Amino acid sequence: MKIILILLVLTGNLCFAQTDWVKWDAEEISYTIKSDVHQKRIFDDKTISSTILSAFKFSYGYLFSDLDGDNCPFHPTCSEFFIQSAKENGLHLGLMMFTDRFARDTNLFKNYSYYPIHKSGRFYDPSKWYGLSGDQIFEDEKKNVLNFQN
Amino acid sequence: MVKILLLYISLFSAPLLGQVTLQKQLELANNLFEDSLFFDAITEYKRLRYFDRAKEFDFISNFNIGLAYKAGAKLDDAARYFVSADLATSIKSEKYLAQTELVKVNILRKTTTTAFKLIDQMETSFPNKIDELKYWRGWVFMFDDNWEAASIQFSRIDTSHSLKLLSDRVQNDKYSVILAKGLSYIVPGAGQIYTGNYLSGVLSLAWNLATGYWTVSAITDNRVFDALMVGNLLFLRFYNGNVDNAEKFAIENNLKVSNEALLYLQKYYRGIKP
Amino acid sequence: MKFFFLIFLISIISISAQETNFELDLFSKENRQKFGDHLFCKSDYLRAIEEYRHYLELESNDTSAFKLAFSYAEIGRFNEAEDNFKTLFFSSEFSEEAKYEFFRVQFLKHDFEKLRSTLKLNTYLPTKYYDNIKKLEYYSTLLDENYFTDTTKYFNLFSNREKIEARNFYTDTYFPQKKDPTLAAILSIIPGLGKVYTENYGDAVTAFLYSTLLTYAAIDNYSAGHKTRGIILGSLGAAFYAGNIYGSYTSAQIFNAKISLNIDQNLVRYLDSVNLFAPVYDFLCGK
Repeated sequence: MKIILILLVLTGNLCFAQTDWVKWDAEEISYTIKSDVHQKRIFDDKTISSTILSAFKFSYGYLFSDLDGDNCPFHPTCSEFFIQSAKENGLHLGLMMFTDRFARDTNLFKNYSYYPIHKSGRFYDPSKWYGLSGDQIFEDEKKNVLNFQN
Repeated sequence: MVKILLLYISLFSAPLLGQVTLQKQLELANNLFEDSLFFDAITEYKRLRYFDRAKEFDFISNFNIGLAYKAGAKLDDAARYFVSADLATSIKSEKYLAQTELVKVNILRKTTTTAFKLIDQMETSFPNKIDELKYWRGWVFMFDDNWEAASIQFSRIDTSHSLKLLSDRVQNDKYSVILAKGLSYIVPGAGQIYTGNYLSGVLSLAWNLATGYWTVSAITDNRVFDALMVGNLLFLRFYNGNVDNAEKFAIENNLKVSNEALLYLQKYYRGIKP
Repeated sequence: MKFFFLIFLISIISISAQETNFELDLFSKENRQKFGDHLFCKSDYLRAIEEYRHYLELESNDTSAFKLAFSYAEIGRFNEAEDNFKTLFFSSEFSEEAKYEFFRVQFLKHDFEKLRSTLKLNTYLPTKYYDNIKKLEYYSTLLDENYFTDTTKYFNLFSNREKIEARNFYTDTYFPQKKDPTLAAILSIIPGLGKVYTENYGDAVTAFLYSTLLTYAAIDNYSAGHKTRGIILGSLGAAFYAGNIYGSYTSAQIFNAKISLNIDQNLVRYLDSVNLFAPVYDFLCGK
């Protein structure tokens, strides 16, 4: 009993102080178990211009991607990556970014340390890194690093 | 002489007056707690703890700080203070209270291994509380998603215990993951249909038949390269995907069933909760 | 005799009473300060702030005022920390420390420009901690992308061990081992070579295989009379070929961005380990 108590005290201590650095209110504790099952399809497109892309995404997702197993180790998945890159950089560049991503996805000798881990447990590889933005690539990550409080 | 005696009495009662101050401080903190101002309540319990040099209020302040953190869903902090409360007292009933809260916090933050260990130890320290401990063990099993074991636990208290019936229902509503996978190994799509995902099952079967046919026709036409490409990149991908999906659907469904039961416990269950 | 015995008894009791619990007003200014100090030392800064604020309304005290400002800095409320440190700049017991902390807050806020411009005004220079503040200024120039200075003048401030770190960070920041994206793209004329250059060997092999196999399959199908299939496979091959050239360019960019992120990460880790060269303040519970 003592050992467990001491362990609890020690591990509790690590995360203690910061809880109260911002005033908080009462909060209900959720009983439910969080799902770690990856949701492949996300329908967030509202505009007409993206309808074609959405249709592609829907049919690709429903007829193909949802049925061939969980092959994509990345976040976002290949189809989401394609949609994002085509939206941000136009169809031509988007297609090139997609084939490059597809090749990296199917690479059998993947160097996993190359990619940071996303909170979904997948390798984080967003389209914004491939938009030729040079030094801006890790802007958010950089801000996070420079924040000494973390 | 009388004056001296009065002075004597007033000085003698000094610690008592201190006691009154601390008692008032406890009431202040308790009022804040009752008004759901948990952050401020903790401040006042901490003030009480700090000025209570004789440590007479150590148990109650630590215990209530734990409860306040729990009310704010700060479970790690709550656990820390329940441990302090347990260490601050040697009264058995108080120890039982603190340790039970510690078990409850571990149930809520789903650190079920710790919760089990704590209950094991409590069973030896509090042999007269066996039924209560059985009840909490059942809760740990429910939060551990082991409804079969939970059902057994609750039936030891009462064979028609409402939580036993709930556990049984959850257990019955769940699909067998192994069966779902096995079905899909034999007939692609069958596992999906077993878990109620008919369209996905039919589409899966169609893809497997089509890609299987293309592979076979490439082999019979002696197009070895095509056969390898279609067989590896398409047929095997869909076949393995079909098995993965059957498993995923079963797990997803089981999770949904568990979560529905847990949500019921959280929102509507009227018995004692962690 | 009895009388003296009583006096003796009373004095004993009064001493013991004071020692046990004879504090009637837990919210008196002294008790606010005591409790604030206790919270402060437990890193319970937000609560400590409340206690110090109430206490400082009733009495001025440099130590508590410093701790109040320090608490704000610790919980990341930098603007309030800054304002509170400023009040201690002149005619205060801890003016030097407050000035140093003011600059540390600027550093934490990443307001490197303000840090340097304010340092130029000698009135704010904490002379007692001159070396420490100059070290902080040196590192601020390394983290500031838009700033290049002749930093060699700073090196004499550092101890021998610190000097090695300072030099290494200097070389890493201003002369990083970067890859040229254009060269990577040109090398990709041979599929995969650009990715070899950016050290992504697995991706290089895959890109090579996609481009060559798809081209081979296209030619094979086309010559066998399967024209449509040949054209589809040929376009796919071309898409992968172009994608690889594009991908090589971006992979060089990512390689470079990663290097600069790594340098920052190491720098931050190092600065954290030396606590931003902050002096050790004895008056803050041994912090």
